[in-house]
Amino acid sequence: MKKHQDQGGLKPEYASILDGFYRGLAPSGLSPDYRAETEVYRRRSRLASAGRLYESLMSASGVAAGPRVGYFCNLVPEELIRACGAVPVRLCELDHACARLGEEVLPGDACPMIKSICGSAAAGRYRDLDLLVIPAACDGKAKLSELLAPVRPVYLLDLPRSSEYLRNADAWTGRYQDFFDFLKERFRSRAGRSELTAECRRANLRTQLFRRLYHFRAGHPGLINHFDYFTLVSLSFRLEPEAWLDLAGEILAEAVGRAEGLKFDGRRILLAGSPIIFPAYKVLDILYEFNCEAVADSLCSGYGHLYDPVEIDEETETGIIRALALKYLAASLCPCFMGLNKLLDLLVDTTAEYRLDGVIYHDLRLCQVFDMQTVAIRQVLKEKRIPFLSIKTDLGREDTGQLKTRIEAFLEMLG
Amino acid sequence: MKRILINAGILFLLCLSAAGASAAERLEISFTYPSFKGDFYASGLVAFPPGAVGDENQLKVVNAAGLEVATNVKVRETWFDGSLLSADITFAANSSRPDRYHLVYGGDTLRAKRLGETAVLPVSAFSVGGAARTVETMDMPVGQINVRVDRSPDIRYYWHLVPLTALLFLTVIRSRRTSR
Amino acid sequence: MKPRRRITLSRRIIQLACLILLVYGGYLFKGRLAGQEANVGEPPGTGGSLFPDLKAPKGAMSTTQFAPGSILWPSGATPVLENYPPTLVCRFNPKGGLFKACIVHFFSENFTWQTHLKYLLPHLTLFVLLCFLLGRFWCGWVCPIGSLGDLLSWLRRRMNVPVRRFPAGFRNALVFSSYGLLGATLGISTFIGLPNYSRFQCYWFLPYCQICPARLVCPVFGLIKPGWKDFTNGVSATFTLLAWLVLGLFVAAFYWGRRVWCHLCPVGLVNSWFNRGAGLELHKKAVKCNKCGYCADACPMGLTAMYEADTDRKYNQNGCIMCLRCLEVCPKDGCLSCRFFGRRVLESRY
Repeated sequence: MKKHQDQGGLKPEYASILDGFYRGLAPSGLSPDYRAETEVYRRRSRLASAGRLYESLMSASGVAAGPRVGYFCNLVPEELIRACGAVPVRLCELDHACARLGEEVLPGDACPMIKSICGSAAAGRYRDLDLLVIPAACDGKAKLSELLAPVRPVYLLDLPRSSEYLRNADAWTGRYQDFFDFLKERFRSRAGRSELTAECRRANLRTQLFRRLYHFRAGHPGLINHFDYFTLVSLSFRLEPEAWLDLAGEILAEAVGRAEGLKFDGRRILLAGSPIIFPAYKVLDILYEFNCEAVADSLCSGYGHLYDPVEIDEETETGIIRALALKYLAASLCPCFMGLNKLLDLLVDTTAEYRLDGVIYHDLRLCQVFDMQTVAIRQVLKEKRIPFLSIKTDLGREDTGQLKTRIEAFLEMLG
Repeated sequence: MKRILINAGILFLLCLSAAGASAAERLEISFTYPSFKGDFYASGLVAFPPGAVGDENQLKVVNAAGLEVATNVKVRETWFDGSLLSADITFAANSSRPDRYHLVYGGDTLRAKRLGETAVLPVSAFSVGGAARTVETMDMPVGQINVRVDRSPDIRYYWHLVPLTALLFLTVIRSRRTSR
Repeated sequence: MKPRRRITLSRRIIQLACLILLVYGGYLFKGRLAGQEANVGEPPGTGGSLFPDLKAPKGAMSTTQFAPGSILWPSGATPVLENYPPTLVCRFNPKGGLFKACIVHFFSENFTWQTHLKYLLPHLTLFVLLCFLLGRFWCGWVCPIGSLGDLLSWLRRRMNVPVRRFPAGFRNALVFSSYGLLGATLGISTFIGLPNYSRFQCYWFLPYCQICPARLVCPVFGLIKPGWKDFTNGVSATFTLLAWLVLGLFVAAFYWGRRVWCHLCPVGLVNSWFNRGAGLELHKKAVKCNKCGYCADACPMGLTAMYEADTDRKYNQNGCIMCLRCLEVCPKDGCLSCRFFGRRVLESRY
């Protein structure tokens, strides 16, 4: 139907020229191997069931068959994709090797995640997907919709930048409705509200289990450590809800069984800021070294991906799509949207509710918006007497020593 | 269902009947004397509780000296047992000799003097019983008497003003503390 | 099932129970009470009931005088209880219903009859007490017309018709019109009660009731044909046409929107004056809010104050019908709470 959206705005002629360039960059492909890393994190875990967790990180089991739709950011409603019979795969990644390849395409001072995605795309890792859905969340992502057009057909989900419900709810619903219509046509699906309701229910089951796990971690720090937690969340990027529930349920059950008499003498902090996705666990490694546990977070690769449920108020098709828009857009903590109030509220509230020791703001270098709101967060948390540390880093391991010094000083200051 | 709205006098009589109908009742008749000097008829509609006045001869009007005055009684309505419900009572009075009259009924009261009402005289309406007591309504379905009477004083209603004002006051106070 | 879901479930159960009670209460309880009434009369002067029954004085117009088929028929059968709850209870129920009538009927009828104030006081006290305790709770949980409207909304949702969301200006205009309706009703009722104008009573009696959708709907519940048309003269023809128009508006308002009618209802308007001071309070803990807008989206009255709120306070709104839907859909634990005079009764949980 909408050809220009399908092609991401690049003419076939230009697309094929760009495609030729990509194929020249990595003719043999690029498949980084992280078996060593998973082995390290598996040994660090205090749970026996974590073995299965890290195994599934490396294997492709639990992913449903069917046309696969790759998407970026947690602003794309996977329920819509599932309802149309396709399999949503969230492609957000932070891979140092891919990012270095991405620097051949993009300038060096682009966002590491964009570089990583671009590198992966150039290396041909997305060629088995049927569709790429890119939300115009930030400038980088918007531009990706053109740069990735040669690789696979791209749908650009253009969203208003203000996350104010009153002004945008209708616009969001319209965009999502367009997207749903597009998907239905593309995958020849006759999905309606019964499919949507079923998918929302599946997603909500996942949210319920995630919330239990999230609260459990705050009360019993260290048992499900932050490596397990972030790995579990990033697995939900591609696993079917049932497979994920199975995995997470097993981990939570084991942890609850061993919660009795557990002592944790380290620090409990809230991790805010840029996403953390396997294998970019550098900050988590340093925290682990100083016996500090990130028990809560506000990341789009953690809390933001699974915490919010879909609340269907009107069980009409439009009503469900609207509810999805509210879940994904109104509640979004992405700094590209005007949601600093929500983030500050969340930091203040979570720190008080779980009596956390402080907030560490993970600021991925070169993402302007994350960086820009640091000053506001620092000043507000200072006023509220919540210890705050902002660390600026990127995917490389070169600055590990310097980060260690800063984090150690911060943790000592907590007293 | 027949519905009759009765006047204040009925209630007073009903109350008295509830207290005990066997003794003779004595009610003051009140009216204003006309400005002219001479004879006139005092006339009024009086209602009686059930069973109090068996027929039109079981009531009489007496003057201040206790002497019976000739009366004319026209029965308007009767209760289901045949006793008088209401009757028009007329007697002759003279404005040059003001007197105080009482209506006596019940017990063994028997009327001796009858007024033929032959002369054409001006009429002054009278009422019995002094201050009116409130009455709501009286329903008379066929075959049974369905009377709902309110004998309670005004305070029974007016005390509601206290909680009513208090609640309204509280509502206003609490509203002011609530943001719009 | 999540625990919060039970709010709407219990609301539906209470609505259904109240619909049955208020509409069929006359059928259910009449027999017993009629037996009692026969005993009351025998010795006269057993004393009035707690709520004096207000009846038309001699010569005044009363709903009992209308013949079958007339526009203010059926009515007249005495209700089971002689008082006026703060919700829409229709006088135009066959068999009289459970309560006497709604508060607008109460005012218009007694203003016409010029009933002494003291007889109104007990009724008013009960009304104000209930409103003070629960505010406009009645609209959301008890009102039979509201329940019927919710049924229409449910039908719409079943048929996959998306809800129309009306702008705040339109809703405010409806509230403004409801002030007009109430004012006109009370004005006309008082006017026709004046001694010199009682001749207007036969066509202008209970002016709001004549166009109220409940007058046409409630008799249907009792399987009786309502007095649906009267073209004897200009006034009654106008009222008939207005009644049809209002019924159409009512159905449309509930079918395409949710509770749009409730902005226009004068009974709800009188209740709404108590909302902000009511004992039933809605609180928000602003720091827990994630601004998802579900509360504003789910509000059948289209209120957004709860969503917009940035401080921890009580957020009772005049338009709120206390359906607690916002509290039910709120995905943040402990963000919204319902309190009774400051004591926490319910709070949002996921």
